[in-house]
Amino acid sequence: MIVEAKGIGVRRGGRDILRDVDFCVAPGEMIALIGPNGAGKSTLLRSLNGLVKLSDGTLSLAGTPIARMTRRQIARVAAYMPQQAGDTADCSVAECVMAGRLPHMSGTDGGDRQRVFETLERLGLLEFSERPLSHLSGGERQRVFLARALVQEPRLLLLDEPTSALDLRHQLDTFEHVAVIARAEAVAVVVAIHDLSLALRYADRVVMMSGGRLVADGAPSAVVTPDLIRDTYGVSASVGRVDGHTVVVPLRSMGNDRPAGE
Amino acid sequence: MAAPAGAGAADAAARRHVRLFRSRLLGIAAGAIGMAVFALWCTTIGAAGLGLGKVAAIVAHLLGAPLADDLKPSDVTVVSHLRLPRIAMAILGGAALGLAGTVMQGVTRNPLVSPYTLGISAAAAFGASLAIILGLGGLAIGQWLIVGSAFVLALLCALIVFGAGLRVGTSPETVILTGIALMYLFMAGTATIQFLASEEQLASVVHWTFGSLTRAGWPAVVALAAVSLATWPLLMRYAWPLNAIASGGDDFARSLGIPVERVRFVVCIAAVLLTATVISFTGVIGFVGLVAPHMARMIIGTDHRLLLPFSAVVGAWLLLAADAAGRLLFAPTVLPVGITVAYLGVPVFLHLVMRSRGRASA
Repeated sequence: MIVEAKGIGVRRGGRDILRDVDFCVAPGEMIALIGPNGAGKSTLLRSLNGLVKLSDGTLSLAGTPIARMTRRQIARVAAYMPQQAGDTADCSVAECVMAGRLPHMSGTDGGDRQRVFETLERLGLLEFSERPLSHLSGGERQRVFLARALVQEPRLLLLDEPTSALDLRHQLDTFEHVAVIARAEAVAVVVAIHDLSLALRYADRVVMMSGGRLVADGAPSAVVTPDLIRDTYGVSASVGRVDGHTVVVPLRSMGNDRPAGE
Repeated sequence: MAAPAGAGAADAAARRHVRLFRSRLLGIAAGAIGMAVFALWCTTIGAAGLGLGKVAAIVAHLLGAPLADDLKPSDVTVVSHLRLPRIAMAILGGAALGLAGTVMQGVTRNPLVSPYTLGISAAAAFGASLAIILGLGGLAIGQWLIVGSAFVLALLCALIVFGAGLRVGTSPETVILTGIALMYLFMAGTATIQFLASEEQLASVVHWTFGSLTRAGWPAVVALAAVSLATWPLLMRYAWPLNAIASGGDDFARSLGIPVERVRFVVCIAAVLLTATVISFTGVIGFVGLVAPHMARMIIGTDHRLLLPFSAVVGAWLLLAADAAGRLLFAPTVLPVGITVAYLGVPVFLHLVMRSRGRASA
């Protein structure tokens, strides 16, 4: 197991943000983390690479308790791509992605540089490589941060809303790219995402969260159901198949008739 | 420009990147050599009418050669006690302020941060004023007491600013807000002292706040050189962590394995030591620490491996040129460098801002 979390909880200011979460990730597995705003998706992702301190429970990364790992050791296992980062970034695209090699670096050798520019090419970012990050669009920046997470050569990729600023084509490209890497190099991927149809299409497993707890964990078709969507999002939806893909169509908000835990 | 197809595109871009890095490295070297040449020329500025040849002969004499016939012992004193330490202080002081400004802006991710906006200069001015009004300046070791008092207050201010920041998790905003608040507090303290001071004390307090290289002798140069030697290599080692913090913020840097709090702490201590050492000898020089980093960034880019050394070069250039201008403009009256550095630097800075904004929108 890459991740083994037992009964983890995060408390801040007397409020439980994460409560009694059991969560395991196997190598090469692609897991979609879904749930309404404030469900604790980002907190769970951030706790998986030690950015958030646990108040309860135990967490192991690649077999080692995270409490006994240094930041650098964690960084060699897990790469993290935050939501909406880099609007104040002051660096060039190449510098930003090169920083992804830091956990492995002892001086910049040519092999590192090669990997950086190959990754930029694969993500269609080569033409931007010497430009300031702040001159790029939000979507281009998101791809830069994905490139950076990839050159980190992680065994666990933690992506927080990696496609929120991307157009349709780049959403698909990003997920295809991540899926290929996950399979080819047995990299486990945990991705927090709002787009349920994308989650259904690419995830091996879907984990639904609400109010800081896991409410469902299993095969996509078992988790993304009209009943569970109604209970956690307060939205009636229909789940159907179009051209061989399962899609979710939200029908209407249930208004003030909110589900428990929100 | 469309990326050319084929496997060679990544290679070509990587090679282009290396070429760019090397040309920027050459640019830094050129800037440093240019500065050294300019510094040589600066040795000839002054009332005594000593040209480059005579200055060279005097330096040779100082290094052990016999004194040439056409030189008076007073000429030797002018060069060894006035011009050389002044130029050395301009170079080391400008470099220290530029470097300190760059790392402070880097770790706080705020382009408006400088030793001045963090209240450190204001605290030093208050410390010096305090020593002056207490009459310490009149004692035999008076100048050292003023320097010491300025230094201690500068460190105290930095301690409060970064201490407050550390308490609530070194958030850059807290550091900046605390710094600005303390700046006003110390300015009020200095104003109070000025209000209460005698005419003579008032004159010397005001004079201190102008910021001048005239007060800096060899002891100041030696002290600053020692602090520089201790801090520069340390700061250069943090070039990559600074890149990581600048490129995506604290969480990003942490997820790359960087102990952000420790980096911020060490880097700020080094920057504060450099700044406090400079301004407690020279008085308030506000502009260099804020603007040298921006000038360097606009010319050489944002990679701290290049930016750190280059902001030192730019800072040294600024202070050296400003001091030369201050000595030439109204000769034989010498304008304090704290004043002329703004006259000289602002036009250059505005030009760079206009140019880079123009490029960004093109």
